[in-house]
Amino acid sequence: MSCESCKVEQKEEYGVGAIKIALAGQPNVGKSMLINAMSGGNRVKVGNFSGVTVDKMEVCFEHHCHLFDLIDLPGTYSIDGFTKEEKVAKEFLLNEEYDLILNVVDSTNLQRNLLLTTELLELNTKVVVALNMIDEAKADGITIDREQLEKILGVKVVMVSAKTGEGIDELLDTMHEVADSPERSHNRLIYSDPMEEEIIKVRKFLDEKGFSYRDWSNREVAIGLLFEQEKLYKELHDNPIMIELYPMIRDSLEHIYTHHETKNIKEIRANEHAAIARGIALEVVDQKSAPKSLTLTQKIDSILLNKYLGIPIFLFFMWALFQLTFEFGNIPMEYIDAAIGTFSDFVGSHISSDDIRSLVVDGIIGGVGAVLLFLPNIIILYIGIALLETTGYMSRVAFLLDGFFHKFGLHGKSFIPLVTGFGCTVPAYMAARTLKSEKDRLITLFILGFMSCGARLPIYVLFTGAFFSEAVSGNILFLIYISGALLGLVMAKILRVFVFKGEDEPFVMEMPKYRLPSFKLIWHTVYSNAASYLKKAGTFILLASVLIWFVSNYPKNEAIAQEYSKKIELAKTKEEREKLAAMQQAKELESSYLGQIGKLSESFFKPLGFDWRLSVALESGLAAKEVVVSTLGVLYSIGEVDETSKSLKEILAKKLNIPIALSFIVFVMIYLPCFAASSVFTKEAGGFKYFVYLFFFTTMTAWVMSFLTYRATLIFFGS
Amino acid sequence: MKLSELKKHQEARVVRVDASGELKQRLASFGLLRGANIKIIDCSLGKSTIEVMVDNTLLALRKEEAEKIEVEIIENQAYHGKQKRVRQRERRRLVQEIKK
Repeated sequence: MSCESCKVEQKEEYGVGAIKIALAGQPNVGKSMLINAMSGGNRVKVGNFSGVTVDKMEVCFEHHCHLFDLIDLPGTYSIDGFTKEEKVAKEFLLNEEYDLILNVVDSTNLQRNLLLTTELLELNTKVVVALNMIDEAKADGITIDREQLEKILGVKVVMVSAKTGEGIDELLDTMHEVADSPERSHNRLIYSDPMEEEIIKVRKFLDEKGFSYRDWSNREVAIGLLFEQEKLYKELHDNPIMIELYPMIRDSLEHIYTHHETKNIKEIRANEHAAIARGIALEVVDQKSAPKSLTLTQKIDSILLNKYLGIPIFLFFMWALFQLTFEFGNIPMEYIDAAIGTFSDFVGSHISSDDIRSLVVDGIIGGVGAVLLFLPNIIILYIGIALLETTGYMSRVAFLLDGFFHKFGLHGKSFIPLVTGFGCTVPAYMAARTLKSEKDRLITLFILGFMSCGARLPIYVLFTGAFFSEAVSGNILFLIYISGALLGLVMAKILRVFVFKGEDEPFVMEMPKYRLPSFKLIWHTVYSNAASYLKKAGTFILLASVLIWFVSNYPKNEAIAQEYSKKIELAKTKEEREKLAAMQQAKELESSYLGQIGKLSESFFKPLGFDWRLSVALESGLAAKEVVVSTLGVLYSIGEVDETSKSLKEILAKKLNIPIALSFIVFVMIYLPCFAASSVFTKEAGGFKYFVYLFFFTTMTAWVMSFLTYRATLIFFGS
Repeated sequence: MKLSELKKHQEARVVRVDASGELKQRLASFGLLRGANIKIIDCSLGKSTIEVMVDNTLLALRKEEAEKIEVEIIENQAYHGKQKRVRQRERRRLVQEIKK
């Protein structure tokens, strides 16, 4: 694997190749944050929930004229497990080339973190241990005897804090030193008595035979053999020594089995590691009383996880989030709207050619402006989601909702991808990898689109703003999101009963300690999301707007133009002339390419109350949901006559009614996610056929639900 | 007794985990295996999900999983410092032995 961010000239200049470091650690140990601290930049998303880093990723940077190439592996409690992430991590550690493993450890919970460290040490490669969050440990009254820990583990240990920057330089220097040293320190872990007895026996035999394997010590080979390391057996398979070794190992294993009362070697290994970790913690960790942060977490939990209050509190938070999204988001929105209007008038008055003015004002400014308007809402929503992620509340919600989710055939953990889905569906599809059972994962993938992503928010804000008073808009918004989620649950149940039948996955999950959200982290998440939203508006949506403008203006129909110019000449009053001009534009639009496309699909959408403009907007939304709003912006600004109502919101309020608006919202809520999300879905679900299923599944559901909404509200509100 | 029968905040030690390979391994990777200290912190309505503290780790489990974990209540915690000294003595002995 090459590191793109490293410049080749740099490598030549310093004459040193990059040190390749595999970063391994349990979830929530601040791995991603440590990468940011080390690289000085902000390239990884950082979160306080297992599975933020779903794929391994690479970061490259320079320190003291040496290049460091970090490969961030997904956080795993063990590398022996069954989840996709654990497999990704193990696969990499066993088969790829790298200089050393940097094992990031949470100093406030050393014992459990050592379970992974012991596994890593048995890989017999260079390891450096970073005791991260050392500042938190100190605040908790925990002291760690680092020298003793180094002695026991046999590897370098560095105390660091990604938050304060303490020890980062030392860590980088240590890694450099370890990577450059020709010698690797050997595994010095001490196992239980019966285990040691057998290790010594096998090792002595190997010594006597003068055996050697790679740079492993014979003790390490003995441990590998007794723990049945597959790779070792594969490579030693043809070695004659195995003939003598086999009976010996079988004997030794018998002894170990009797002692551990099981024949499952993985279990034995886990027990050995647990005993080692417990022993080490006892020896090197000094802790006067229960850690403060842990007691605090328990206190907070007793409120937030309260039997009766827990769920209402959670619903309140969600409600507050959507209220804020709407209320606060609306304040800057008015200014942006006014600014865009002024800008568009200004530009329009300086362009003499009718065609170009229409392109710039109606096409570009109309389309991109409509999308820009919603930036404040998007930012607030992302702040909310980032807060949920970084404080540790997200896993509490999984805990609270598991009982409820379980009834719908979902796993409490599905909550994480589902909430991520409110931001963007693409990372949400990837976050579903934390689900171990394939069926749970597929069900979650299928219903994820029902969680309305941030890009759909502008559509909702536009329509609710147009048809409902400001006082209820926030509530309507909340209702839209909740009903999408509820629909998702019902669909999950249907899928579970009819399509993905089978055993439930057990629910075992860590509840990370509550952490105060770091401003830097939140800012980074929100900034990068807002930047990508703007980038999309400036590129993709700009192009789409121009395209939509073009297909809605061409081909020019001369017959209509002539017919109306005559009529207009004959008209007596000014009002009549304006009316005729509007009719002309509407006629022209209908005969354009876009009008033709819209007409084709109109019969499909007609029962839902959509005219061809809304149909076209929905179809363009398959590319990206933001395009729906920009398309509406272009389409409705062309046919617009009344100069007093400039904003799209007012035009919509005039041309459509509540049943149509609701039906449209429901359709948008349910139908196929954007192109980018769909391709990620296809990849994650494992094949194109799943995409076909998803297409029919969502389109049919969307149609039926919109139809019901439309008909029901027609009766209620009247047409 | 089973973990699911334990009262809130009662200190106990895990005696046995009666689960199949995969679940057992999963629990072990969180440190929930024979010999671990455990206590219940919180339960959701109807005890369908339980928050437990295993050594210094907070874990969420379903009732079904909690029923598979056999625990015993700890009466008297051994003094920490004493445990530490015993452990260090033990360690020195083992290192000597390996060197031989």
